[in-house]
Amino acid sequence: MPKEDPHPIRAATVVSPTWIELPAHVPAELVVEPVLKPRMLFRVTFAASRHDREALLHSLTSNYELQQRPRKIERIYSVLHFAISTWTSEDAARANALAWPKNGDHIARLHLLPSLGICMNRPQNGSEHRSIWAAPDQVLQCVADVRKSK
Amino acid sequence: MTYGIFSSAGNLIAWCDSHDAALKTLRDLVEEEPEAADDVAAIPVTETGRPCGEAILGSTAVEHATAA
Repeated sequence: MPKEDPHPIRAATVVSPTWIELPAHVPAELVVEPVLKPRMLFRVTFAASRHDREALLHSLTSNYELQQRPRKIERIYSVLHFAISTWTSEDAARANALAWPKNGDHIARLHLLPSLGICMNRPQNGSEHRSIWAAPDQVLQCVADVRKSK
Repeated sequence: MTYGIFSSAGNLIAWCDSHDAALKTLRDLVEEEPEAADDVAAIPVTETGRPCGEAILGSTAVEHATAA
């Protein structure tokens, strides 16, 4: 009969590297700031209207909440695993939907309001992509309208 | 050309600074999660990060490598 491990926790411990190099194209820092004044952002969705609650909630969900394992940049910045990707213009969101229809076929206009605890990243390079952090039902309150992507 | 790597949920999982780097990133992702081959894709973006072309699926990146 095999002996029982007297230190089961130690046996299950995964050995982590003592240091890692920042992969190419990963910024050395990530600035996250709260929404202090109304902001307009756009998100690709399969919801056909602002009343399509179930589809909207699904598209306002992070990879973490979808129970996807952390991948690539999410392993460097775990906060990005909890983030939702959005765009600063409707045209950019539309271009996203056209590039990969699997992301959605409509565009939700998000009128982000202060005092809901919503945060967003401040990109270093003026990118039209924004990561935002909030509970899906909080962002749901901010959906102003939903339009077809084409 | 810069590429954003996205999940099928529409959330960012990597940035890559070339076509080759995007293909390699997709292949790495598919190697780790073969079942996700059609749920990750690289989208070319402009200097301002705006999508500007068709997405390349993880499964396509693997086929590309196999054919080469």
